[in-house]
Amino acid sequence: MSCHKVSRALLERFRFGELDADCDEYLQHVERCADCQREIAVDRELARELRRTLSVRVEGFEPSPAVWRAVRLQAADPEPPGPWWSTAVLSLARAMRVMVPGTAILLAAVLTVSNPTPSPSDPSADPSAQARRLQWAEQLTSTAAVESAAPHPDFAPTPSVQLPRYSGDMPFAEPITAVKLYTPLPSSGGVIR
Amino acid sequence: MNVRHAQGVVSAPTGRSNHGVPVETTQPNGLVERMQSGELDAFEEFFNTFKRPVYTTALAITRDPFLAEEILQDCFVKAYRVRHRLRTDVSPLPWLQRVTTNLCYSRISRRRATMEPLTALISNVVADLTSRPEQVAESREIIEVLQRGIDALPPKQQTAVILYYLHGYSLAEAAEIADCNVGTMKSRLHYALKALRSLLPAERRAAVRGVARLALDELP
Repeated sequence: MSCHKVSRALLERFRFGELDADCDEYLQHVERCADCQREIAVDRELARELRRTLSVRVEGFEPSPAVWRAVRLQAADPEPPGPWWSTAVLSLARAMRVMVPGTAILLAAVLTVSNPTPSPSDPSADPSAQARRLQWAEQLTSTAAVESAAPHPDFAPTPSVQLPRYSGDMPFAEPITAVKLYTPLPSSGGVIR
Repeated sequence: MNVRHAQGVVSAPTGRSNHGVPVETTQPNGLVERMQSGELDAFEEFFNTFKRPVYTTALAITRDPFLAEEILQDCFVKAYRVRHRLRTDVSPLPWLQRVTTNLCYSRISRRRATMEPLTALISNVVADLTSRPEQVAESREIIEVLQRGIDALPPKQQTAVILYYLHGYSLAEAAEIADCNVGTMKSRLHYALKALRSLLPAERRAAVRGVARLALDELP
């Protein structure tokens, strides 16, 4: 058993008065080991000196009777307000709690009214608009194919195809951002794969 | 939670309370309730019951009697203002001590230049402890080294040392006041003692060892 282990294990137990039956083995070692005895004794002596030092700090001092009078006077007064900025910050926070949701609701309402989005699942009651949409859809499916991957080798871009311009009554919620048109080459037999 | 605190009555720690200031921690039954109902007499009784440990803690940390009185005053004014939130089933002392240590460290960080005037007073007190001049000088030197060492400790370790070695609180009580667990409190005390021991000059440690050999006879 090493002295280091003994002193570490025992120091805390001695220090905090936690010696019990488990310490017999350590105590037997300490009885024979002068180094361990010295370590423990120095620790105890240090604790004793520490208590004396701390007692010296406070000996002879008493709170004056004036303290109670001051406490009573101060406690009777209402709590003094904080610094001016704390009041301002509190007021701002209180106002923000109302303003932020209110502004968000107002903004959403304005956007909804000024820019209505046509819903594809809700066809318009106007038969002429519906006819225009059908015509546009037929034109698109017969002349173009939308592709997002790399162009197929059997197809070459057709530069002169006129795309229909986007208008509000197209059946898309989002505007089309990019469309590439391809014409079947003779080598593919005219079949789009 | 300490059992005695849970019962609403905290008695003074026994066995290790003879080295420091007598600690009055008993809470008369119903004191906080009476204070909450607005009885000024109850508040005065509350103040008189707990002023001593609070003042001692403030004085031990700040080493300035005037600042300690200010902290004592602030602590009890705060207690009165939040009296409706104080628990009636446990002693308010751990809470008061926690408020005191927080007030001390916030004040100390604002005014650091208050530590020196007590040196002469300490010397006078030490001079009364022993009769031989060389012993007086030796004690004074050890105490001065330890005073500086305690001041140099981090606040949490300093609080641990004051609660455990000055007030004589048990580990559990000190841990409750410091709002930590017992293991943490042990650790803080361990590192504080290690730091204080390393501050003692080698010749002083040897001198302590000389005395320590005598103290070894007290070992169980």
